[in-house]
Amino acid sequence: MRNILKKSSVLIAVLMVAMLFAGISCFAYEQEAIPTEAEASVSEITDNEAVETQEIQIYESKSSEDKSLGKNLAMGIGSGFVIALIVCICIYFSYKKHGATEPYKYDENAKLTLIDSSDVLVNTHIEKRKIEKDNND
Amino acid sequence: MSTVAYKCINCGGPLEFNPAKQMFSCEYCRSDFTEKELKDHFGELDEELNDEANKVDETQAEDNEFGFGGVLFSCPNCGAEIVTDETTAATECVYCHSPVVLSGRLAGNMKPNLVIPFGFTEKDAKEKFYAMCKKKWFLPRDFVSDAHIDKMKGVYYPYWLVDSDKAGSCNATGKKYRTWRSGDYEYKETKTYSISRMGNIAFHKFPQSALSKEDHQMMKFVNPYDNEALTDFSMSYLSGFQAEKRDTERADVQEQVDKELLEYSKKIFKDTMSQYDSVTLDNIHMNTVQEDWKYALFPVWLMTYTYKDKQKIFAINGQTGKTYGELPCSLGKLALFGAGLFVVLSAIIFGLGYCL
Repeated sequence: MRNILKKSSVLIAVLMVAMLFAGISCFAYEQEAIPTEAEASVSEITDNEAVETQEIQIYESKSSEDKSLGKNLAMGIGSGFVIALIVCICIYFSYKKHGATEPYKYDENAKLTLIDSSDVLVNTHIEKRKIEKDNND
Repeated sequence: MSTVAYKCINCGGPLEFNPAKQMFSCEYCRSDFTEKELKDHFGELDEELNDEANKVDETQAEDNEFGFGGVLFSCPNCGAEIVTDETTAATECVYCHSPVVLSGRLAGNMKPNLVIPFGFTEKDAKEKFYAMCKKKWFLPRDFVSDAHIDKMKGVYYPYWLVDSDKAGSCNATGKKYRTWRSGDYEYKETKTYSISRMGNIAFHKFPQSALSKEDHQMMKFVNPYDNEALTDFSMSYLSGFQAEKRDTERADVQEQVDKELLEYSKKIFKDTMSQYDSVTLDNIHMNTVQEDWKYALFPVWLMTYTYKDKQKIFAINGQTGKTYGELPCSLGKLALFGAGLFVVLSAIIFGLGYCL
């Protein structure tokens, strides 16, 4: 039973890493392959300009959609993997140090008597930044 | 050195402190006695032991001649010889299992000022442990069973309790942020404040381990205790439990106490600056105005468990039931959970990115 558990956890870890690489590869492929294909297709068009322009527009919008899909997939898999890994590490160490919480309730057992307090504004800084509009909008 | 076995006033059987009843019970005739009744009966004995205080050091020096760090005592019940550590103050006879209090160890300046008696029994401690285990999803399935628990014992651990009045001041830099949009522009305003605070902080019953040999992390994190339950020390509370005496003086832990209280002072001053989005403490100066140190014994249920051939110690606060220790984590369950979380998170992030 112990061996089965060990093997299954190793298998799951390998699968997770494989999926992560799949996501990264997908992202890399979308970044490199699609624009090259699109350029090649445009250069072959010679006859009916109106139809071709329309075709190019349809193709470009489709390839842009594919590119965005691949990017989202890679982002989803990458972020999911990193967050899941962090959560698992936190859980593991919380078991190793179970109960390591604040040993002294200072808010109940310590009393502060303020004699003097001052808050002086020393500087105000305003940063202005132009909002970049998303190309898809 | 003196040893005491508290015996039933009615039948002479061994008396133990019963946390469930908060009385002293005899297992043989089922009699229960209050602390006052016991004090009236054994009071003279306690006083005699206090008078012996000056003799203790000399006797202990002789006892330590064994050379292996252990000390030999005679069981007052059966006469058998008991070997203990140098800091053990209460134990049980390995032959007749009678509770034995090594009263000479807690006499004179080694006598604790205060004690928190055990609040629940060994059975309750086990139930609390199992209840805690039920909430832990990633414990191995076969872990929660009596078979893994090797030993469970109630131990009184020594602590210094410090009442400290501090006076001081601190300087900090606080920042407030505000963001707004106007037309095609986004504005971010940062206001920087110079903050200063001056005041007195009264720390009440700050605990510090008074035993150098024990696991400091365990003794630290089994806290906090409810100080309302502190009562004047009586030797009889130790009957039926193991107890350790302190092996540190105030000077040995003063530096550590000052360091920890300074950290708490920072937190307390910072709490008065909650109106700021970010605070950086520039400097803090604290002086001790007055300090009062008390020596107290706190109850801990100590559990030893063996899992996968590894022996671990787990501590349960004998008053509040707070648990501290290392728990085994099932890597199989964790991997399954991680995989599930990975799939769900990936789907959510992908879905959000696709839709927005």
